[in-house]
Amino acid sequence: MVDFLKEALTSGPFLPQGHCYLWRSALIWLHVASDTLIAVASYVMPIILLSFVRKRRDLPFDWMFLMLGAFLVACGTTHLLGVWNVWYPTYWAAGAVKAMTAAISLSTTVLLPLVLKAFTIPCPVQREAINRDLEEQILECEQMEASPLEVRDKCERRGQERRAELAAANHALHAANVLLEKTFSSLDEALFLIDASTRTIITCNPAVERIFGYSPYEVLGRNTAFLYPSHERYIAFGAELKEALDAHGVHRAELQMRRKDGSLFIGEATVSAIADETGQRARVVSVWRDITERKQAEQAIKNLNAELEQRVIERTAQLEATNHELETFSYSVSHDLRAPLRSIDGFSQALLEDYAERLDPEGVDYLQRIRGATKRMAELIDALLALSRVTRAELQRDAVDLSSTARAVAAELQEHAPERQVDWIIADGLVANGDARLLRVVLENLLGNAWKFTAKTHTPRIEFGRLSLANGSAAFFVRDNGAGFDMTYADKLFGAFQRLHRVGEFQGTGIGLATVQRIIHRHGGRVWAQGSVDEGATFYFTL
Amino acid sequence: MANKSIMLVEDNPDDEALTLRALKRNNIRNEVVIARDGVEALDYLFATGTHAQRDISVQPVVILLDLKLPKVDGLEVLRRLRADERTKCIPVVVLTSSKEEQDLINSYSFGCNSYIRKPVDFMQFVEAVRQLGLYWLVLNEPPPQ
Repeated sequence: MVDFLKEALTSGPFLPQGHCYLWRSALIWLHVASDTLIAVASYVMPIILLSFVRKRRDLPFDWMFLMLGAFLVACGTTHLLGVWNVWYPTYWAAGAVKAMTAAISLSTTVLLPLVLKAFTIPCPVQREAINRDLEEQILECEQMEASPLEVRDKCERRGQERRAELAAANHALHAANVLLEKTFSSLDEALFLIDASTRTIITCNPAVERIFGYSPYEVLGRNTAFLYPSHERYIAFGAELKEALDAHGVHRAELQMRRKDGSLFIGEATVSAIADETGQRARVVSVWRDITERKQAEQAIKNLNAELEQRVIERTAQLEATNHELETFSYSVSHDLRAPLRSIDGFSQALLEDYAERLDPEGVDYLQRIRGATKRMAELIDALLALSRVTRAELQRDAVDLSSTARAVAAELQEHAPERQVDWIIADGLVANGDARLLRVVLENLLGNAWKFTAKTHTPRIEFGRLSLANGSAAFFVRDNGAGFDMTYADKLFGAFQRLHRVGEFQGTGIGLATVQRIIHRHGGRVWAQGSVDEGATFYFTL
Repeated sequence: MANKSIMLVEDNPDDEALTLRALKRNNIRNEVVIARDGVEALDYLFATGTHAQRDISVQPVVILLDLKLPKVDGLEVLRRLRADERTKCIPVVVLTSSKEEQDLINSYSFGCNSYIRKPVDFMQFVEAVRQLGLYWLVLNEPPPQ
């Protein structure tokens, strides 16, 4: 160690640099002078830098300048040692100083660009812009300082404009308020604006006086409880309202309320909620109408209806009783009227059979007439019974195939007198809505009549079909080319027991058409006839 | 055939006479038992009351029953006949003037075997009786006694 230190700090075994120069004076002084000058410059520059840094205290990164100074100092020292090394070869020391210089210069080199980047010394262009702004501001200030009067005028004008604007806005607001007030007051219904949480009356309209009896001033600010007949009702309605408003936002109700004079009335309320900025139900508007009169009218109607219902029930009971009477009447007619007839006929016949030899032809004739009369009476009774049955029975409406019914009736008629040749023309697909049984009776009567009244016709033809009327509706018809009738008696056709032919000519009770008419009328239809003597008749009916 | 008796339940004496006459005209010579109201009919058939002495095992082969009878009417007689074991099977022909639907319904629902409407015309009535006699007395097999 000691050897190393000795070597380091002394010349050691090395040869001085002069040796390399071969001790030529010119060469030596060239190197020595250059190095010395460099060293001097290197020492002077940091001093200048230092004084600059000291003067400008505001300079940022002044340590950078110091680093530069340090570098220069180190550089200078290196060159001085170079001079020293010409005569004294303390290369280790010189090398060490060089190494230090290297370190300082390296760090400076690395840090320099970073510093320069952050440096905010404005470039000339930027400086120009800054200058211009400053100049403008200065100009403005000068202007302001220069004309205070102008400025004042300007301010005054602006003030006037503002005042005018405010006045106009106020006016509009006032007009709107007045309109609102008028609307409010013009309402026929009582209107309350109520605070939702406290249920106190914020405001109300003049109609309150007419409906509740209080003037608006008497109620402002009060809790609405006093308007209700009882405190329980007040609470109950409050709950009802809350539920309804939560669900729908509007609630309509009819409830009893109390007037100032203590009387109660039925009011109809429409209540809606008004939300505030947060969306909460802050206020509630309720509109009231006095519906006592309407309620009374409703009650009167209900009573009337109930009365009518009662009357209908009574009337129906009466009708049912009458119907029942009629039924028993028909029943006894069936039984009791026929029995004596049977006796009359029976014993007349017995007389004819047993006492024939004791009777002269006139006597026989009388008995025959008696028998004939009883037979007729039996037929009449049957026809009457049938007629009464028609009125009694309930109408059962169904789709009825009239074509097939007509064919069945025709077949029956043909069966009873197979020798008769009749040209039956029955249209297909004739369907009607009505009571099947009763419609069959209609066809039996009409076709039966046609059958009867064509008995003396050579080529009898009986038609059943449907045609369209002038007004577009359809009618069924039964047409025959038989005996026909005189149109002058047309209105008698349908009367009960009315006959247009003598008993001997054509048999019949005269009830058939009356029955037909009653059935058709029960179906809500019309029946009428056309005919001419010996040319036939046509009977029309609608359903 | 002579043992087979016919029962005629009829309140009207004229009808009774005419029926008997009709039977005679048709040469039906069976015994005809006549009851003039419902009570008499039941008494005979159940061998009670005025007919208490009768042998109940001997019953008519057919009953001609009118509906409108005094005291106990035809339907009631029919009902009671059908309710009793001894008379349940006896053929009953309802012979009446009525053609009312209700009578038809009731008669059949109470168990009559036939329903004939008495015609007013006597000749027709005779014919009806002839057919009745022929059927119920000759053609039909009566229930065993």
